[in-house]
Amino acid sequence: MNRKVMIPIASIIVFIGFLLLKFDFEAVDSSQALWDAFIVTAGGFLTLMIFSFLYRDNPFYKFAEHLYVGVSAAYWMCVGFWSNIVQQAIPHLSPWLSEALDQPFLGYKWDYWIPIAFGLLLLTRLLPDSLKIGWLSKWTLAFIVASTAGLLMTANLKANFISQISSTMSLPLLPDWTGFGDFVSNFDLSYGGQFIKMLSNWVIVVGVISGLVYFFFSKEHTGWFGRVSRLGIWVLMVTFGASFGYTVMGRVSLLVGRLTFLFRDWAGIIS
Amino acid sequence: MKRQIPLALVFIFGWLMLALYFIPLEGAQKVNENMLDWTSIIGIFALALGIWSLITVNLDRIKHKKRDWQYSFITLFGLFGMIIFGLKFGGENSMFQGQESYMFRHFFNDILIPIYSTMFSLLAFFIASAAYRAFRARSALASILLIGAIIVMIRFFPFVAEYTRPVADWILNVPNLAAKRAIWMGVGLGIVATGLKVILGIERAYMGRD
Amino acid sequence: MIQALFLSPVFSPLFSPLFSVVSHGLGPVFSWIFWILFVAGVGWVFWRTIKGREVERRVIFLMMGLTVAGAVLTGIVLPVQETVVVRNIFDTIENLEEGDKVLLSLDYDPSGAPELQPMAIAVSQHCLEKKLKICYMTLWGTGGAMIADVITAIRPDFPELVYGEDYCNVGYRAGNEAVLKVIATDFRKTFPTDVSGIVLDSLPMMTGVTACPDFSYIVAIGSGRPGIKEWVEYVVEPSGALMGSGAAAVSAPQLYPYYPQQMNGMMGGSKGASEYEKMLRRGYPKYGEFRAQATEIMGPQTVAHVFLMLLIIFANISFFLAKKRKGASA
Repeated sequence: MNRKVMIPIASIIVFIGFLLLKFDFEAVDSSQALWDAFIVTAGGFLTLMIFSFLYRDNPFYKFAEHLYVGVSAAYWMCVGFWSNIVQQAIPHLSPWLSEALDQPFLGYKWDYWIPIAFGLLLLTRLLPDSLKIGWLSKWTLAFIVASTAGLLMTANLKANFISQISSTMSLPLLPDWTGFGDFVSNFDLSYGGQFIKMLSNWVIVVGVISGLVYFFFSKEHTGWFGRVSRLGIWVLMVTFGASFGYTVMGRVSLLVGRLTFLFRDWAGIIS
Repeated sequence: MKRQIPLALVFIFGWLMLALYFIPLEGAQKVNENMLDWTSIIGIFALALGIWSLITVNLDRIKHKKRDWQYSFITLFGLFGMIIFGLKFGGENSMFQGQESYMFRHFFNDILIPIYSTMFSLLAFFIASAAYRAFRARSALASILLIGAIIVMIRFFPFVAEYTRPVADWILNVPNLAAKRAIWMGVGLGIVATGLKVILGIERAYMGRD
Repeated sequence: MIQALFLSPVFSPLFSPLFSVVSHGLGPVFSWIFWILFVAGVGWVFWRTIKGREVERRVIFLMMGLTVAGAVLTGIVLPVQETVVVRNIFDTIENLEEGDKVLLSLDYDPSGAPELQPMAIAVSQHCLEKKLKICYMTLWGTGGAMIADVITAIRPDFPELVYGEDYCNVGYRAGNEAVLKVIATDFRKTFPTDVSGIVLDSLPMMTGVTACPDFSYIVAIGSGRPGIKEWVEYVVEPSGALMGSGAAAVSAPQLYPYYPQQMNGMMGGSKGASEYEKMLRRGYPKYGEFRAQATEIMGPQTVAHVFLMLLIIFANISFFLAKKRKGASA
């Protein structure tokens, strides 16, 4: 027997073995117990299938990967349909549909027909080319692009531009002078005294300006402009280092989560 | 016609969205909210389009026996399995209860969650390998990157953390904040510029080729 | 015997500040075996590296896997240091009045769950201890399942909770920023009903809530887009609502520009979550150490960081040795 047949058969046998290990033979409802055993075993196997990629790309990994694509696409579709169409739009469109889908009818709102019409126009793409009406879908696209552009522009201008400038420019660059003793009193970086606070504010203001200079490509980075931009890249490097540190933490957390699942829920080694 | 109407729609709706933001009347805000509400409903139709595309691509792979075509069956199995259990019919005792279905939830919890979270956890391994191979103090800039990363990472160690935590917090609260603020300002300006180009019809990539 | 040695009065104080072995772990014997293997493995990598020999990618993978697996199996718990940025959220909730409403948005998927779910659970427990009313929502399709998990996790501690009076779940709406922009001024427009189709007006706790600022506090826990940044842009900025956040480690550094002006506190990754758990334990001792999910993660987290830093140090020693050798030969 060749490997292409042997490996799937061996995998199925191992799967059934684990399934039996997880099966609660004393359960009253045996079909429920079988299902419970199946889902835990499947979860563990799928986790191991993905981990197998660390060795090299292989059929087990591909199996899990393709299954994921199908399940996740359908999941988003179903959740979106029930949340936005059924729960949000239908209660304003038709009492009959609301009742059929177990939703309360909340009164007619004619404007909800507009997104439905736009949505249907989008689906004209699916019609055969011979009908030559697929271009109507671009109307919907135009609406989505326009509303998103309008929305993003205003919000970004406010939160990421004006507010950030005001937060930077409102920092006091000189201390409230209450004497030299107070000025140099506390050098703790966390709850620093006046000197540390002033230094931090200067670093923020200079860091923001030099960072912006670094991203300004309309002028050649030479002379004093180049030196300021050089300072900008130094500040950016510190922050990229910090981001790396945080990223490590995030990814290790996930790994810990998966291994805890494997050892506790699947293998039952730890309690 | 095919191009002019969408461009006109972008122009009209784009300016309308911008104008509505600045008009302090309650009626204007209501119109603004309605338009935003519509986009979320239209989004579901876009998802349906995506699902259709996924189905046709996979059927095509199977039909022409393209590379790894066998796996397309698995994708379609997952897709239709999830869609069927996401339906709602047959009354209260039926196993088809939409997103509340027992099987729908288990497909999510026991297939989607393990695969999804394990895929992302693989990055922990690749980060370790990359750190070992590439994280070297080759230049002054690389050294700064290295030091920044080490100070932030060292926050975890008992004993040492007590002394390094203030420095790590300062790095996060001061230089990190400054750099990120510069980045956000750049992003903010970039989005405004791109938005204007879209609304004015200068940027038309979203229209496709035909 | 080793167990006795480990727990003896001589050695115990030596180790106890470093880490404590949790009851769920495989015990001290395994811990010792693990540490010996760990040191041996790291030593081998060190030896190969300074000799200038290649250490294969898969060996690093294996070592990383064994390091985290060993730390999970030994169940070590490390002390956590608190930071002001997390304490601000705890204090805000602590200072709210009984009956105040809190909006908890869980905008993440299973990939963010190990570090963000503990935050959602700890914040929920804290709110319920303070008798605050929680409204759950999500901007992510996958968030509905996360909310269900959080509710399942907290229910045993609060059996008397009544749905609609003490907490409610309005679920998910697609639309990303559009959803936030609308709920900032009209909550019911986007969420006319809760997740199971009950009209929001019929839920007693939602009386008087017309828009986001009607919630005394918003805690947005998120791992990407739409997430905390969008909450700041579309809700906090236009409406002035008070918000704290819980960010996945990957996105946490990017959010510092919004602190403290636009959000008054932030939990960053599993460390932020473990800090919150520590504060909760101190304020409410019934939440014992070993029920804290993020705190459990921090032990393996630290060991993994030690390993990673050792790799970086070895690689740099090797780099400088190679440079020196090159300089000498030239």
